[in-house]
Amino acid sequence: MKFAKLSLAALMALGVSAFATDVKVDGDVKVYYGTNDADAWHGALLPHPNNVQDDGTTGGDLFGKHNSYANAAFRIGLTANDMPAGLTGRLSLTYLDTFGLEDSIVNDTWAGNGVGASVWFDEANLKATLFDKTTVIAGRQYLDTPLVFSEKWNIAANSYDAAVVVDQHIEKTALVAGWIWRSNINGGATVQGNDRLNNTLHGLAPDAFPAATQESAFDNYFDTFGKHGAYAVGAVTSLIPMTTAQAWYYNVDSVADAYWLQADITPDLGGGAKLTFGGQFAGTQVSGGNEDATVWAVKLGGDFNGLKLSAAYSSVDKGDLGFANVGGAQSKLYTEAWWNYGYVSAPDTDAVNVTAEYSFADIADFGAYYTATDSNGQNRDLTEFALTVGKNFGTFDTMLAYVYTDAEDQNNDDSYNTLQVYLTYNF
Amino acid sequence: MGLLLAVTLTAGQYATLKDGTVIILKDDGTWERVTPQKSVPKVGQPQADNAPAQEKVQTQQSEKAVDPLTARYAQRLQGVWRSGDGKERLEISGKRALFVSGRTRRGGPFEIEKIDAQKGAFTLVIGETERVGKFAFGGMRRRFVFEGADKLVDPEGGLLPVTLQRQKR
Repeated sequence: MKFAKLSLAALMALGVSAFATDVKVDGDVKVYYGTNDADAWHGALLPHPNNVQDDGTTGGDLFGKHNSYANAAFRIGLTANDMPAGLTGRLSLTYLDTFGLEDSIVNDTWAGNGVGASVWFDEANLKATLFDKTTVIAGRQYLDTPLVFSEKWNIAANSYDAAVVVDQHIEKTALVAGWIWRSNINGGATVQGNDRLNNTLHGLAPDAFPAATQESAFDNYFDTFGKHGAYAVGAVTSLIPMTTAQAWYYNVDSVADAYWLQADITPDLGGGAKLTFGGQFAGTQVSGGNEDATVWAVKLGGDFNGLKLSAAYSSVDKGDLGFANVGGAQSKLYTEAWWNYGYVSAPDTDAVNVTAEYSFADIADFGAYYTATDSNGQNRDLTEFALTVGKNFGTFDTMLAYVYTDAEDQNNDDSYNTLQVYLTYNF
Repeated sequence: MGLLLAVTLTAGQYATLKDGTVIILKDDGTWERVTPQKSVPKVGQPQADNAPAQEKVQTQQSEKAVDPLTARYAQRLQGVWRSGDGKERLEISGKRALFVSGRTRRGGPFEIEKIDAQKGAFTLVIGETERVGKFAFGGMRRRFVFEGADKLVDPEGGLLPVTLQRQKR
């Protein structure tokens, strides 16, 4: 059965390229590495409650195998334009592997629920334009809406099996309707490893991998939302000068409803300076739940000849459900942290964020990010400070990040440091 | 280069650059590097006594032809462009481009294709590595439309068109 699915996918790939008059091939190779000095931490693969280093000592060890995580990923995509009937086809295949690094320098991963190799189609869709300004995209695709989106921070992004209609007949306005069937979840559940290796040999817990690990990982971990998927409708408009406003409504069948309102005003001060005022208000309601939740957030920022500064505040009240992405852990709240996702969007949490970014021409891009949350006695207070420096060398892109984390529910309520290296070769 | 020459030369004229390179400006606005050589009379060709050897130029190496319209669009693109929300940045410097969107950066040589001069529309290709038949390998491409001198609009950049504004120097 799995073989049949693969064959169909391959057939589709061949068909897409055969019928198109214009085919674009793109892709990248990524190697991501992270390490920390926490005594206890939680990776995508495993919890590490009490670190014991190879030399028998206990505690955190920056660059130590038991404090480090890494993955390599290869992605190749194919876009076929000008297919019959004006269709555009898109296919993208991701190969995720640990390449044996778990035997040498790391003991966890960025994504995927296993060591070894996993391969899956992260995109497989057809795009059709109807009635001139009405577009339909059906199939596996990346989405970008406030509560349902693809998270791009990881070595492999999550995607969605969905059908989305976008209508732009109204000037400067997009009306969106979508049915979202299922998704993989960014992080540990991005994809299921093949478990080719013996966990015990690698010092991993025997239950680290699901039982059905010999199955192909092509579509494992694409979980259905609710019983029949989720529905979303939205409108985004820039009809008001200097303002982008958006409104969204979501319904996950038999599970939850949610709405999201947002307006961003960007007056131009002239001389290369631009201000940003933003406001967000959203609500979630769990079917049969006890308490609805709402959040409001404000942001004041500016772009001053390339120096980007912003300060934001958000407040989530008590409720059953927070405001993180349903396909991951990140949120679109203005206060979202740089690395520790899931805090600012949790119920009964207040948060602040201050961000500064600057690009020195021909040198590098620099960023500094401060996030703090108050979980009102839930023992989930977070203080995070991150510094990043990124440099592009043509097709080769690099980024180095330092993250200071002090969270009540991490590392036995003790702070710790994280270093991350992001290497990407685009082709 | 092409634009500069167009100001000072007319088609068919030669010019010597600072590094000694001699070029000829062609009718279509492109230029070609040439090498001055002494003209040697053919055998039997009459030659006046004491007449100086004539100099003539012979084509040695052709640069890749760039049509004037493409050159003009490339010139207009030079600089730093940012989206209103600050999430996207496009830097064009000389023959290289860098596109930044969030944590994603793509850089490399750029090309301009499929110009629609009436609409001011064109496709910007960054970092393409190979093209074989109907297949193009590598890189990223965005379709832009010039709106005045300081705005670039990608009609399909998102749910709404994405506007990049030239950053003031």
